[in-house]
Amino acid sequence: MEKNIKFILNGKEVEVTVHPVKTLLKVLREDLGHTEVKAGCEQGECGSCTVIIDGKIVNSCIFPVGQAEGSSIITIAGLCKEGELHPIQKIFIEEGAVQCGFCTPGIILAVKVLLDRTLSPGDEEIREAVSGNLCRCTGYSKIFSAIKKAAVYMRTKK
Amino acid sequence: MIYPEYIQPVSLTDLWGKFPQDKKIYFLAGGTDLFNYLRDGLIDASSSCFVDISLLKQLDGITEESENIRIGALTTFSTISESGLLKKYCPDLVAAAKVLGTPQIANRATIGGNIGNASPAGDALPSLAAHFAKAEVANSKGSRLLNISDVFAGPKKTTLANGEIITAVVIPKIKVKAGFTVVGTFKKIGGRKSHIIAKASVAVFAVVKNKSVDYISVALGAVGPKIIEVRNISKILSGKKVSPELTEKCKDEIRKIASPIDDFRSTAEYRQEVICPLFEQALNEIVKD
Ligand SMILES: Cc1cc2nc3c(=O)[nH]c(=O)nc-3n(C[C@H](O)[C@H](O)[C@H](O)COP(=O)(O)OP(=O)(O)OC[C@H]3O[C@@H](n4cnc5c(N)ncnc54)[C@H](O)[C@@H]3O)c2cc1C
Ligand code: FES
Ligand code: FES
Repeated sequence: MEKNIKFILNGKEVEVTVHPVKTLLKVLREDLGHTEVKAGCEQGECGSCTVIIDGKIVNSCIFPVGQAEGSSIITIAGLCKEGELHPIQKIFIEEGAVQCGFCTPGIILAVKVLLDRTLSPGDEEIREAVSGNLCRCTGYSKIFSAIKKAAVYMRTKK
Repeated sequence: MIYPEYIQPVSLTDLWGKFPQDKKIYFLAGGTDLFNYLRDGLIDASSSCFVDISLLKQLDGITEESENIRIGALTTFSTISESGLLKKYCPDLVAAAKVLGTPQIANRATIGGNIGNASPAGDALPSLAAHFAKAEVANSKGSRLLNISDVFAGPKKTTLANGEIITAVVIPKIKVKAGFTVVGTFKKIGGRKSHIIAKASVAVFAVVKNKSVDYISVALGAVGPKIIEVRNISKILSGKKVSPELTEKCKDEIRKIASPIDDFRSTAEYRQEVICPLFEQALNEIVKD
């Protein structure tokens, strides 16, 4: 029983005809070619499939695409503006907060939502904001310092 | 992949009209449990129907009534953890919401799903039991209120009939004597520090003035097939000052009533060992000079 489902993806309207219980992750990767959304555990544990839906981060691997109807979804590709990386992305690279990069899209989206809320996050707030995103490479300390740096940069630039 | 049948009603009345015959109904709220069951083959897709309730906006949100706080079944744990009303009346439930899942999970996981999933490790449940909250359950003929503990038939089993839906949780407001304050907290032990399903948990809700207790209610999670209310603790502490001796008496009650089991997450012995210190930690956090 497939259904027509429309939503806004990185600012553009898209339409798919799929089963509404198919996961948003699979629809993004298989039907829409958005492989920047990473498939890790596919059970809601690791956060690598994180996307922003209507301003909130969710794990797309356990999100039924039927519930995406009418919503606005942002993937990591949606953070670049006219080919230019978002400051959080740039600072992650500069700070060496990326190793294999598999967790990075999810982490940066979680950070984006945090910094949309506050540009002066406390240490505990930072840890909490990315606590749903596992990284197997970096040991988190460079991620943590990149987030602090991004907050300062965006605060002073404002 | 075989998918279950799927319907997405837009109102409660619409819901009853749409139910397919002869299918096992699963209400799809946040899907954080359902998707894992589907993937793990615990749901027979071909004989099931997912009823997506996400458009039933009347089931979402927290409201204050004269005697109760009403939490709609679709309310997520991120909403609960930020609610001023709940911080005032149910700080223990707010504490539970703050440690439930990761931020991504808490943005999706609903209180109705936590009850409907009927896991003795559900983080909202000890608080709801400690508050003697009721679940509002509806079917096509009407609705009724059930004690939270009466929703559970056992681990992962509810007493609800196929197609009966939880529409809200109703929590009675406590009367607070002048000079006293409402306090509460929730503690759990899992395999790591945060965002983990409980091996043992406890909710403590009280009305206190420093160490003097006017009212206290305690419930335990994951140390029995259902949530356990430790009713005798209120007999021990109400009207008294918390002291090491009385705390020991409370712990004796907990030891008597906890009936943990071995499962894939932990052993009965470990759960029995940690539940008393967990309670003591919770009590000391909220009752102090
Ligand atoms: C990675 C991960 C971490 C988690 N961590 C925690 C944790 O720390 N603590 C915790 O308690 N849980 C945890 N969970 C479990 C889960 O998130 C919760 O149980 C959540 O509250 C379920 O809500 P939901 O809306 O996602 O339910 P769904 O998955 O949509 O439904 C769950 C069950 O409840 C039924 N149901 C849903 N809504 C209703 C309703 N209104 N009326 C009747 N039945 C209904 C469904 O039919 C289904 O059987 C975790 C899950 C994942 C994947
Ligand atoms: S792939 Fe979705 S949380 Fe791991
Ligand atoms: S950089 Fe490899 S998982 Fe994080």
